[in-house]
Amino acid sequence: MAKKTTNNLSPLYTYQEGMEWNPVEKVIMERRSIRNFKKEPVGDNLIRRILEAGRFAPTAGNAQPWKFIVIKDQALIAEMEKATVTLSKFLMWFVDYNRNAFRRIFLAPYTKFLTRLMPNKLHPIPFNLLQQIAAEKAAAYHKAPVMILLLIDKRGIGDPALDAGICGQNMVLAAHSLGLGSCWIGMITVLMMNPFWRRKLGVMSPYELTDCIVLGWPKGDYDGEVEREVQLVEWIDADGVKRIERLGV
Amino acid sequence: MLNLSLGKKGKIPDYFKESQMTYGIVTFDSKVCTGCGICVSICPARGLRLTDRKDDSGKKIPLLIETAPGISLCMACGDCSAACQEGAIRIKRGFNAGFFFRKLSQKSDLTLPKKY
Ligand SMILES: Cc1cc2nc3c(=O)[nH]c(=O)nc-3n(C[C@H](O)[C@H](O)[C@H](O)COP(=O)(O)O)c2cc1C
Ligand code: SF4
Ligand code: SF4
Repeated sequence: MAKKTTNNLSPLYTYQEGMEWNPVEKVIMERRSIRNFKKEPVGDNLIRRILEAGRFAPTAGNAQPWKFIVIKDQALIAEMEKATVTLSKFLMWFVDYNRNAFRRIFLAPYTKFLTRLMPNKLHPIPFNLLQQIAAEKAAAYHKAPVMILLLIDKRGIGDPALDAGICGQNMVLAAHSLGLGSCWIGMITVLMMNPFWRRKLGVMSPYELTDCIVLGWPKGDYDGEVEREVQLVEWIDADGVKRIERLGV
Repeated sequence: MLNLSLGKKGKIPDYFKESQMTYGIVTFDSKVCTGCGICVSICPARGLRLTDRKDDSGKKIPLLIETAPGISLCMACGDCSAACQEGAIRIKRGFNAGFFFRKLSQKSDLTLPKKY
């Protein structure tokens, strides 16, 4: 390897109280999930550049427990969308208790029991989204020109899904800083319940797939800051003095 | 900080009962909204629709869809407010589910990122 020629790049900026966002912070604050894309394709080298941001994410014990699959085939993405709608319809038939009085009385207790078993999957937000996808009101993959499947190697260190999350967000921020739009898609979990689709996309043991990222040129300007919940942060200062602070106000 | 009693910790809320769920609330400033519908088209929850205004301006204004009384689809992501060119949207209330899913270390008031 060549001798180090540059100075270390950090810090890029020196902190001063109340200063404007630096470019890294700006991308973090103004990134919004984009779900409306132009048909225009994204160049292969640009996709490779984004993958590089993922490749250099930190991982527990440097395990790098992942595999990337890039899908550009629009016909395949359309097929995945259709299959997700069908599967959502099927799943919602078993759990949606908001359709009529009969379901409200007899199905609700069963759905709540299932929710206790799978609280993350049947949380109200994905529950509602699944319902909207089943009703063909919302899209699962947003007709994106590029999809990056972020497969997790289950044999990684500690919690490989956490590593994959960091890797994915690296790619999302890199994509965003280059003018692309992106959206994480957890709904691919639905498709992964079907062994046919696992085989078709090559998601075989030791890999699993729970989330993917869609990319494309945004159709419109949807970026900007948003409001978020005020956090109650616990601080433990010197001598064990505890205080609770409201962050963001 | 908030703690849940044992009975509440275990109970799954009814997603369609107002008393057990707090969905997001967004407000639209009718003075600046042009009725362009961008927010409606980008809402990830598909939780908005355009309605006729009460006044006779002939313009439209978005409204939160109710799936049951007092229940919307809004998760307070703010994507609509970021997309609105007119700055007409404010997220008034965050999303919080009751009982088992109740968030413990955040408030339902929302703020923009603060430059400390
Ligand atoms: C792991 C993960 C999975 C997600 N899955 C979906 C999805 O299936 N569909 C979707 O439209 N958005 C999905 N999102 C995007 C979130 O809805 C979005 O990040 C959130 O509402 C905050 O909005 P923002 O990204 O614009 O700040 C996902 C985000 C994450 C982190
Ligand atoms: S995007 Fe803004 S101006 Fe357009 S309809 Fe929505 S609130 Fe009104
Ligand atoms: S905050 Fe998000 S979920 Fe709520 S109406 Fe706006 S875009 Fe839809």
